[in-house]
Amino acid sequence: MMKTEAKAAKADPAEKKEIEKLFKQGLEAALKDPEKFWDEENKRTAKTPVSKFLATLPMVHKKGKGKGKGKQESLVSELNALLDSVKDD
Amino acid sequence: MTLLTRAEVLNDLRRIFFEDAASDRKVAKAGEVHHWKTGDFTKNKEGQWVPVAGGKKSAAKDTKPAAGPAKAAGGEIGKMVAKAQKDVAAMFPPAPKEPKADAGAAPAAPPAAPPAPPPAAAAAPAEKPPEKKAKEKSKFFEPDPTVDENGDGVADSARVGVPGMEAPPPGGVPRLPNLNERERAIESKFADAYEHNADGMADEFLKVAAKDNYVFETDAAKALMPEWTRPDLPEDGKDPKTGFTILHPERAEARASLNTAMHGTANAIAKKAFLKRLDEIKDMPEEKRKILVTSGGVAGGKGSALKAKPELKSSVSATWDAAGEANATENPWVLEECEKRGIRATFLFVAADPKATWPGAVKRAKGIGRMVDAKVFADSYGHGGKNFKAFHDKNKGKADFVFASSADGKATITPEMDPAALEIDADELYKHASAYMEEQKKDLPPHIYAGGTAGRRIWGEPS
Repeated sequence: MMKTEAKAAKADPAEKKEIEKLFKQGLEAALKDPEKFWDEENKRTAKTPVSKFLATLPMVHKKGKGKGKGKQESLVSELNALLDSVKDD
Repeated sequence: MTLLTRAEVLNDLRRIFFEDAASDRKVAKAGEVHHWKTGDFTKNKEGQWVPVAGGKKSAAKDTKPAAGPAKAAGGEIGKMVAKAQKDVAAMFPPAPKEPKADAGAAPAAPPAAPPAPPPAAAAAPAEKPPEKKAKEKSKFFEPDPTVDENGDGVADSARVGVPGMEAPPPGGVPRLPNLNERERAIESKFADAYEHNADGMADEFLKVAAKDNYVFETDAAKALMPEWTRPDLPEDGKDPKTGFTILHPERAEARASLNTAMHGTANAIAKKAFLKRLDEIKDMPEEKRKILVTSGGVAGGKGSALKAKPELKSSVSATWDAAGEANATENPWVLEECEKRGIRATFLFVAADPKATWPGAVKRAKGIGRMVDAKVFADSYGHGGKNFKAFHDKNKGKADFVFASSADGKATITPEMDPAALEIDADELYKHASAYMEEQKKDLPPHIYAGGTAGRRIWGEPS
């Protein structure tokens, strides 16, 4: 019984040879032109949809990074401008 | 009745909206305590989040309101509303609660209900516990990548990723020590979201893997995070000469800087999704109940070999394309899960020369952004080969094994593991890889240098 289970867990020798052949060819191609296969990661990532569980959460941004003035700063500027305009009221 | 002038109204508005809120910074200050799912953390002077000893928080500097309504949501307006609610609540104080038997430390403000620490820790003063005790209570994941507690010959855990035999949940995603503030925020966001929606996120990744012949790769799961894919940015460019992608600089920066912090959760997602696929495979006819598993050091070529020969992945019902960073610690888990389901596994190992592949990993980062840290790179060769050998020796009767080598720049299939793969010393290699980063520093984008050397801060300098 044990023998049967062990045998079932192993591949047919021809199948194993085929895997070896393909893997060797794949490795050869990867060594020859690695950039080509690295770039596939970029293409795959670009096609991957963001998780819907994560999409709704606020993004974590790099510290100190900002696209010009923040919302609050802009509002302060607007208020200051308005205050200047009504100084004489 | 006196009407306010426009100027007075505007002044009031500014005071209400901005000046009152000015003290509430989004960036935490040193000494502040923050509650994450895994416990309470305080920010030290170096800007790193460290666990509060014994899970006890310093009530005086707590970032959460100690009493009153829940935390303010929705930015400044939300904070105003919360403040108003708090003021109203102060006008109508609740009936005094019965004091808890062990609430000796708490004065007027009730604690914000973190999980109860062990009694001994609860009684200890929160201010300055002894250094040793703080370390003992650390909830961070700091495994020795050579320890084999279950005695199967394979180390139980790598430094990054989830423990080899686990696919959480059950259990949470391990959190790394000594991350900087941004890394910790990313790690927490990804891990917390997964811990709350493990099945949902694994299903999402299963769909992603299905489009690639059910190849399960930890790095691919990182793309579920918007901080990794950055859908808010313009599309990437294309090199007119080579046709290869030129990543948007901010995408490149994120992938180099955040790779280590995101690895654990990505690994957990990939493993959980892989188990779901194995469940599907177990009901297939026998000739389809077979999978491939790859192992080998970081940037050793295993993933590229699969991409170069799509016939390989299409010849089986799934492929576990292990990250080199796992140090081949997942193989006993893969085999065990396959045996449970009557699935045949073929394990492939690629031996490579790490002194040649490390410059390759750095070059690769210039193209794909993702940068592996030098410490985990060194582990992947220093421990990965030994783990795989032990796994093979113990299980050669239960599965098929294929050994390949690209050590001399030529692809070969070898009857046994290349003995050179067993000679690699992880510490020596870390020193070498770290020195290489210094040599190249002036020519490298800062984020690649930062990603490749983050391990110095996380696990220590080369000795």
